[in-house]
Amino acid sequence: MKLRFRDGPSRRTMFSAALVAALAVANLAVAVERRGPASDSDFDGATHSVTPDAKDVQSAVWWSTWHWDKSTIVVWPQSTTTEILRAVNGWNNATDVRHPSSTSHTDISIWQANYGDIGWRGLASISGVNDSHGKRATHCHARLNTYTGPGYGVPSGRTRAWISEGVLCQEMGHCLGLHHDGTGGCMDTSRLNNGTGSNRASSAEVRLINSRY
Amino acid sequence: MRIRTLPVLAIGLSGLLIVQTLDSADSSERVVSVMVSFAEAPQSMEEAAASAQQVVLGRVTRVRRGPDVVVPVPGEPSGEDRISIEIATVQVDRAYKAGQGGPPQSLEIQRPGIAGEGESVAAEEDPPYRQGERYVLFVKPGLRLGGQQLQRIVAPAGRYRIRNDGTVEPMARGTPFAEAQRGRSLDQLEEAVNRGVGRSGGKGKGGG
Repeated sequence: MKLRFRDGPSRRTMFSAALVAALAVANLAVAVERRGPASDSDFDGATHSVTPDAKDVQSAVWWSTWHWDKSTIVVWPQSTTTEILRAVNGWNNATDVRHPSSTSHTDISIWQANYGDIGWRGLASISGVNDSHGKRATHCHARLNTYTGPGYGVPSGRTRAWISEGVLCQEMGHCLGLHHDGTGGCMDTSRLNNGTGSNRASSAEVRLINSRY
Repeated sequence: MRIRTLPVLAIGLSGLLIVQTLDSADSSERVVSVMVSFAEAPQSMEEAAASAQQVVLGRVTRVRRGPDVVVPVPGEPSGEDRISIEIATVQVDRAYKAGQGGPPQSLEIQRPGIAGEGESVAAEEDPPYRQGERYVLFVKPGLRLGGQQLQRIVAPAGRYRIRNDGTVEPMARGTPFAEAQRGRSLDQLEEAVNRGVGRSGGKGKGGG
């Protein structure tokens, strides 16, 4: 019996069974990791439902699966205008994400320049790589077009600084992974452009950001 | 379980583990997305028509890369920001609103993207034009590049593709009056466009 246990098939059986069990556990662990966080819908581009309040009649929306893998996202304000600083500080103060500033190339670059009659007031371009949660951002550019020709006017009752800050707030929001929405905050292009919304993030937009970071 | 089954099962699970691990690893392939905040956001066909200098139905006959728009950004590694411009030549079949010179034969439409590493990345609501596509476009003068005056769409809500089956596909997302046109026939879209042009005080239907 002792000899059979040491040299016989039952020892190989035990080794094989242990190996199979270990591999099964490893496969399960990898599968769970691939599923991502519990709030997986946050990473699949789906609308994140929030409790409506007086102003937030709609939900904020993720931009595809864009996300950062950290909650401190450094910003380089390449132009230190009041509007840029107010836009960055607005997000920094409103959400759980921290935005320390840098004086060299880093996570987000934000600037303003005259691109002419190109059709847009603001443009965000985000780059990164695919990971198990979707598109993981590694760098983002937030731009304000300072062109002031016909079609680039100031909404009634507002100032050029107001709309500029709102556009920069929106481009920063894109860099954080938000799409346009209808919440009345700065991601709400329609109400930002006609001046009836806010040039800061809405509470729905803040809640959506905080739900992830 | 039979003794001979276990090694086979172990090999199978090992293979599965390798495949899962490789699949879950981060891809080194770079992904880039662009989001444009258009200067104008018309909320009705009337507003879109009022903003447009011309509203036309046409077919894309040529698409080419125009000169980039380059602005200095000293802090960036390249020292500049480079915006790619695609130019689509659209042969006009019909004009719902014409400029002072009357209905044009063709229009040169600008479409900005992001230039980098030889590629051009388009904005979601302003995708690349393709030769042969038909569009109803609300346009006005845009950039002047290389001595050529280009036209730009007033907003994504001013760009409607006519599918091969004759139904309408708006480029705008989240703009109710534009979304309402999705799946409608060209005749129905033309009716809405002509109504918007009429209310905006623009010139009526003309030839192409």
